[in-house]
Amino acid sequence: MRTTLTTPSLLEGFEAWLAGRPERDQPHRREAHALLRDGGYPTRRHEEWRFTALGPWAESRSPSAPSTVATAGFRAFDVEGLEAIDLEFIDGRLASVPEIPGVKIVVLGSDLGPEERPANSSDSRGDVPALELLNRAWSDRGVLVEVEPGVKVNHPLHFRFLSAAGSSTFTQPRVHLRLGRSSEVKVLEHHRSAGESTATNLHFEVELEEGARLEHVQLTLLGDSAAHATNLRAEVGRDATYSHWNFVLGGRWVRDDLHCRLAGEHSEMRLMGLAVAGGEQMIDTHTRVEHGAEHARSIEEYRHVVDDQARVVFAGRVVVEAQVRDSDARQTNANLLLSPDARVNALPQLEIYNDDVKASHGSSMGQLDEEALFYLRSRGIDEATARGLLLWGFANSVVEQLEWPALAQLIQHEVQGHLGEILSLEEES
Amino acid sequence: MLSVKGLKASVGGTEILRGVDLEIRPGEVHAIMGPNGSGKSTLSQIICGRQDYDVTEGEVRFEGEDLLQLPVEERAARGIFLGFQYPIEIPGVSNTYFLRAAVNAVRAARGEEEMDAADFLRHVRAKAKLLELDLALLSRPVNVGFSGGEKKRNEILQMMILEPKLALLDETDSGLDIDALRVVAEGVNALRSAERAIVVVTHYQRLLDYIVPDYVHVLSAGRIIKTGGKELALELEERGYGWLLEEKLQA
Repeated sequence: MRTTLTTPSLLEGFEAWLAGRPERDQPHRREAHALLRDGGYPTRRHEEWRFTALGPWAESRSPSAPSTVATAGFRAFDVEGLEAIDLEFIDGRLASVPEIPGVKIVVLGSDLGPEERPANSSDSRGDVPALELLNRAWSDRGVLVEVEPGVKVNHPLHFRFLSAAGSSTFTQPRVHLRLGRSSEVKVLEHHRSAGESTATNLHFEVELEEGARLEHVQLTLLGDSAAHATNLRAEVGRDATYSHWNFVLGGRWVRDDLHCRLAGEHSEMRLMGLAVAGGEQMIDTHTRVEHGAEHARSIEEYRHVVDDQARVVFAGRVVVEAQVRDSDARQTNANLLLSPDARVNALPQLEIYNDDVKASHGSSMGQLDEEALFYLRSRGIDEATARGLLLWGFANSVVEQLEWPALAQLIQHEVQGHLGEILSLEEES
Repeated sequence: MLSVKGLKASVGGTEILRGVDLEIRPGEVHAIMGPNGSGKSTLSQIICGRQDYDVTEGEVRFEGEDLLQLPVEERAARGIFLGFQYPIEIPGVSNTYFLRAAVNAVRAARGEEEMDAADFLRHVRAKAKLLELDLALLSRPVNVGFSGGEKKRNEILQMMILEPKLALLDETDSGLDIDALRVVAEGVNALRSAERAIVVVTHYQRLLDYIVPDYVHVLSAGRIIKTGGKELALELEERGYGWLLEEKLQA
């Protein structure tokens, strides 16, 4: 099926753009591009894109950001009390390579190079997410981070992604994070913007080998006019543990596709999410949890607070494959709607192909609990304060589970700021 | 202190209270007993400030003031406390934070200064120890993952911290084993004073072995059909409610 909509310039200018790229990367770029051109380019007619339009962020934009000078914007990334190793990216380009014992860092440029090329870049499955195809076709920057087997990195890695290139660019960086056997690391993936109408499509690929442990916090704190997409692909090996936290607390348009596979026996995965949305924000999260090996566990919990005209989409799919026995998969999704114009589309989906599975999912939608409100008021707390406390509790019940104090504190502070705005506006009206 | 006169209340057109009269003076402990559906909980909920009921007749005055006109939080500020039969869980809000918000709200309403954070914490810990409540529960979210007994003790802890003038305890004994019952009763007894009144709403006489009431009222079909001393509770335990209902019919 060929798309009959306005062809975006990303597609149109491809051949000319490709001509300037190293020849060995051209086939896989061309392949991705062909899939996009022949119906893969996301439009509202695609199930995965029913609610959210990529168009305005991609059309009439070029993938190559003009080289911007390092700005002072990175100060905003500082987290009080967090001792971390910083990796600073300006529009997806790593500013300087830190020396970390036991960790190999390779800068991916225009030439992805055969070694650094992502493992799955040559596969030809038809179900590659559109965001990934876009990134495969156009990406000309990024980084490969490899934690050597047995290495426990004693400081968190702080990926500081600053989007600075404005309305003519749709930046396509990629990060490939590999954890060798029994290695451990904490990663903060931190997104901020310093310009108007920035747009980024980050491909983040994670591989955990046997027994590895990764705590991965994605913190999206973009400005009011910024767009951001993260396409996460994670593969969790035997006895490995992967925790992913997704805090969306800023940005005009945020789309996250998380595609996580429990590939080894006794592997574990936790996907936790919180978004506080107001104004005209659009936050769309698609998650896919695959149980591909026995005795594996997954827990997923996403919460959204939605105010004003904001819109949230949560599509959470859990797949337990045939032959994969003794699986434990849990998913919950709770949404608070604070205004009559706020909208949430929750689409939980369980696909289970065998009987030896413990699986549950639940989705709730609504306003604050009246019983809880009465309880607080019966202790002397006035109604406005009681509402604030319940709202805070709803959001904080995700944050408080994060065992990373300095970061939890920053996130709590940000959440309080957002809720404070919501509450003071309510009092005025 | 509390004066209930001819109180009638209904829910969705069904009359639940059909003319309740009750006088409570400072220093007194009252027990309200009665069969299921007699209106015991409704009475305490209305005094506390629940708006789900239509009060069709009568009045409730607290220290001379028309209580029914006040929102629930202002009643709490005046010194009314309800220990819930089914305490509510508040995810994401720590027990200590909640207690502190409550204490400071009540103090602010009375024109008093906020309590110093360190003093407050010491105070809460001391009371929790008295109730044999695991101190770890203080930093956990309110009632989340608490056992039935821990929830009830947490209610009593709130009461001890808020120091109300009038405490209504709605079936605080339900779901408690004998040890927990003793601890909870000790907590309540520690609050007994000449300035404070306590109303214990209960199904069973058992709790009244530990919290000895001055008055026992039997509520049935929305009316108080008998009032007596503590010995009335024992008689109810032995003979049930049937004889009272017959006595009432014959009268």
